[in-house]
Amino acid sequence: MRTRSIALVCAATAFAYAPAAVAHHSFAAQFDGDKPVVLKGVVTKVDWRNPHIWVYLDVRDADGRVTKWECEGGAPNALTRQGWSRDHLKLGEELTVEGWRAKDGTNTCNARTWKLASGQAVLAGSSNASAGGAGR
Amino acid sequence: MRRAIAVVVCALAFPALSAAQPAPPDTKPDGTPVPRTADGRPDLSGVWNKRLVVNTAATAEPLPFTAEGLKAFNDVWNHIDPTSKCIFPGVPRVNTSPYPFQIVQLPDKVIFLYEYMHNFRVIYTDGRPHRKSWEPSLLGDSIGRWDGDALVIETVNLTDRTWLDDHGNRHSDALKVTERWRRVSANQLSYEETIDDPKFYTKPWTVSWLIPIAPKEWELMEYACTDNNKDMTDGHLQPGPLDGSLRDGTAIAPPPRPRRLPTQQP
Repeated sequence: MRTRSIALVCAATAFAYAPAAVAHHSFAAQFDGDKPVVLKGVVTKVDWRNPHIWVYLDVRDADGRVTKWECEGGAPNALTRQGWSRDHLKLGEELTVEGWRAKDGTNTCNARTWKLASGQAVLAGSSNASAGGAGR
Repeated sequence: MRRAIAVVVCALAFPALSAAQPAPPDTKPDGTPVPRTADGRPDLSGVWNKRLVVNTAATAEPLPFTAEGLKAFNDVWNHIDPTSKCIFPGVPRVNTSPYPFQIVQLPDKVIFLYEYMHNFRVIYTDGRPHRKSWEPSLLGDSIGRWDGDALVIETVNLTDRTWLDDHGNRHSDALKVTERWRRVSANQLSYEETIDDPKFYTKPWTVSWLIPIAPKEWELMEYACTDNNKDMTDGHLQPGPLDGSLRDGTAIAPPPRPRRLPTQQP
């Protein structure tokens, strides 16, 4: 019972701590908080430019078909001050992105976490500027 | 006790989430001595780590809206936030947008250099009046004066093309902003802004907070908003306040709906 209670509290905590809708643009308008997505793909391009970094992925499904995705991350200046650089993501590297899909149905996402094949989280996760400045 | 255990377990389960919580804001001076210039004034100079203030009016709510102001506040989901289109944040939002800024204090002027959107302001304190020939602009027409230990900046001649913050608080072209800047310790600035906008608010309202000094090694960096604003150039921008707060016709905006966590394939 206690374990279950703790799990529920954790779930509630996770919801409460989900990155706030803080970015260069309106998350709530542009991305769908009801459409979370987990993408596992290969990095094909990293745009380390203001106002947000963009990472391009080739995502292969179970049938071997490749779909191209592009995901938005934090702001270069905030990431740089936190010690991250474009060298933390290499072309051809396998990457798992957790985030939310764009409302317009394109293969675009707003990333919450980036994880290398080793399991290491990189790029400070979300674009939550109010939590230390990785946004906008 | 049980709650404490749950918090610890959650912190272990979600280390990134725990780390993502912002530090509590400074609420009072830390007691360190205030640096002063040769002429005895408090020295505001330095690189300051101003933080994003999402809802600048939070401590003044409910705001004293006029009918027109309430309509504009509730109409915010019909407009794209101007900063999403890389339009300057304007005054006073330039002070509450993210990223550090630098103050250079001189005997006859105080210069504000903002990393965010590379904005700058030269605030003369030599007694000159507001300009007569300037057209309304995003940063307006600012004049400063020293009131004891406070630098007081009055800004007029603003447009209605900027917003007050990420919450979608609005202003009209009748806005007059009064800023009061004080260095209250070696490590902290006190910032106060008064919004005087008779078209949108029946009376002026004032908010304030402290801004910490930046780590010693911090320098201002490039922030070129138009360099790769893919959200705009690819046509993704949509209306609404950046914090996603909703509207119900009242003076207090409901919070955004919580998001589902990404734990499943599309």
